[in-house]
Amino acid sequence: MHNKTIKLGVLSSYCWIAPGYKESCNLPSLTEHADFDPITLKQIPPIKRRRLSGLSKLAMHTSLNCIEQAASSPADCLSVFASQHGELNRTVSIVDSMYQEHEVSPKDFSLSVHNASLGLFSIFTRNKQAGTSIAAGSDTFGYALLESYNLLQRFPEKQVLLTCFDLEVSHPLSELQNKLYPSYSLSLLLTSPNTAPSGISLSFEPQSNLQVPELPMALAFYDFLYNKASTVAITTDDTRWKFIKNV
Amino acid sequence: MKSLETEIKEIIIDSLDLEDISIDDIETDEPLFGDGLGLDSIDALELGLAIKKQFNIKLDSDSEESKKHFYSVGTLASFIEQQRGAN
Repeated sequence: MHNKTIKLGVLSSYCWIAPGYKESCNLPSLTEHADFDPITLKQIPPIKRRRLSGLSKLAMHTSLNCIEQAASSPADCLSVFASQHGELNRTVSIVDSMYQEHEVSPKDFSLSVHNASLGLFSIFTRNKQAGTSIAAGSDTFGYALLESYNLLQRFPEKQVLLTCFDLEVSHPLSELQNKLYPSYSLSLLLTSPNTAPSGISLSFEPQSNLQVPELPMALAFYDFLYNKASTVAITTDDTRWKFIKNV
Repeated sequence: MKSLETEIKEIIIDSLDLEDISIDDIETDEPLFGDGLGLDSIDALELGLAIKKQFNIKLDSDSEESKKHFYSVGTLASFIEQQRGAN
């Protein structure tokens, strides 16, 4: 599998990064094309919006904007939601409450699972299609692309919404991270390669000397999508992912 | 001094993140769940926890009685008064 190249069509993309990161970001294409504004989600009524955690808000914001950009219907796409840490910060706060012998908030508990954001997206958009929730360490975005490819092999006429998102890891687990990344969310609307005007090819191979990536893989990919390079190699902790633009 | 009803309305807004709703929007006798304010089962648990904490009262989450007490702000206020009298 490692040497196989897979192809995906890209219909649209939307990336949000925490506002404070704009000044320190040294990738011009990423800075120019990503959204660094505070999230409002005015398209969701307040009575429903209150259910969204900080993390779900990021995922919802880029998912809805990405689908809107392609003038597609949010109820019809298959979805792959990928997050390395998921609701880590919320889980820490639940464990902390339990440790202090306080009762755990039912809302926090019900939204602490890894697929909470995917579930909320499906409820808000009345999407009854298949959805997958993925976590795969620093390769999370890469495996989300592979899962999207699998879905498109099975349902070639469908579109797949891939949303890869994470909050900055907070204390105390922040101390265990090799590098702290900003909160971000990237959404791509993917199709079979022959049904979109542009797309990407990707292949990957294991890498033995461990690296600490400068950026989450999804953000490095988004920069590549908009810069002038025709190919890029993005290394994660243990894998080298190669991408080629197909125009 | 604030009435008990007003205090309950404040707890509802704070504990359930109802950022766009004010105390005046919540009718004392209208249903909290379903047709009225439109709260759901997770709200019921969250509100139960907040009421327990604030007024230091006991609640039985499974009983039919609890459902009646949580019908509206008015019924909750009577229930809290009654519990306070019992302590």
